[in-house]
Amino acid sequence: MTKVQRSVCATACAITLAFANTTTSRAERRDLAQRWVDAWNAHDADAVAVLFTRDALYEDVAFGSVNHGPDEIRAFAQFFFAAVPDLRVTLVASSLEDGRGTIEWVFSGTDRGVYGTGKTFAVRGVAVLETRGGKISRNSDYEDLATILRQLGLLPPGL
Amino acid sequence: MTMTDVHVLDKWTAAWSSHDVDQVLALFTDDCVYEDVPFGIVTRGKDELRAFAAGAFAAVPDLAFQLTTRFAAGTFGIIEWTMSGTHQGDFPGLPATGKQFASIRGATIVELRDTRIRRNSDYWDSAAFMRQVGLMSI
Repeated sequence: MTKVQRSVCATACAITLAFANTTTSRAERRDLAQRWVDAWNAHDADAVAVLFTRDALYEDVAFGSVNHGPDEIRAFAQFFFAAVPDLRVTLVASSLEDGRGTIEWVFSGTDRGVYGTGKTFAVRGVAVLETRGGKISRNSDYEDLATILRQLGLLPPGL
Repeated sequence: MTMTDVHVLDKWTAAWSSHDVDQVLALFTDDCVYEDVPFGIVTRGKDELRAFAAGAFAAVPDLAFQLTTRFAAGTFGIIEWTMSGTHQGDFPGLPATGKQFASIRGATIVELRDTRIRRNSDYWDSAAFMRQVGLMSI
C-alpha cells in the first residue's frame, strides 16, 4: 500500500469499526460483501458477473457507467482489470438486510488505462445494493472522482 | 423495522433543504459522527455538526435535496439523493462561482440509535459539482 492508501484505509476503518453491526443476517451479509470484494481482488470478471441477477443494473455514478446484465457487467469489470492492473478493493464495512445493502470500500491501484497517467490512487466509496435470491439486482457505486483526478495530477491547480 | 426508522430518513432530505440548522441537528444523537467523504470532513458531536451545516447553508443558500430511495432495517439505513443549488459561498478549496448545480447524485449511509442518526457518511462526486459550476471540464 502507498502512504495515501494507508491513510484512506486508516481513517475509514477507524470510523466504521467504532460501530458494531447487529443485523440478523450477519453471515449472509459477510458472504455476499466478501464475495464481491474477493471477485474484484481476484481480477476475475466471471466471478464478478456471477454475483448478479440476469436483469441486474450495475452503475458507477461518478464514471457515468451503466451496465445491464451479466455480459455488460463482465465487460465493465474487464475494462477496470485492464486499465488498473494492480486494482485492489479493501472492505471497510457492509450491511445487508431485507434485500437492501451497502458495501463501503477503498478502491486503489495504478492508472494505466483509465487516463494513462501511470500514477497510483486510492478512493473510498460505497456500493448501494438491492439483492434478490442471494444475487445482486442493483449495484450503484458512489465515489469521488475528484479524489482520483487530484491524485493523478489531472485537476486544475488549486482544486 | 419501525415506521420511525424510515421517518428519520425522510426528514434528512427535508432538513437539509430547509436551511435550518436546528432541523438538521434534531435528527442526530448528541455523540453523532458526520462525515463528508469527498471533502474529507469528519464532525463529532452537535457543535461541530452545527458549524458544518451552517457552512453548507452559507455556501449554498438555496441548497435542495431530492430523495431518490431510502431504506432502514434495525440500526442500518441508506438514503440516495440528488442535490442542487447555487454555489454562492466558498466550499473547502472551492471558491464561490455564483453558478448553479442541478443534479449531483449521492448516497448517505447511516447507523441509527433509537430514532436518531448516530453515524452519517455522505458519498458523492465533487468532480460532478466542479464540472456543473464550471471549475473543470474533465
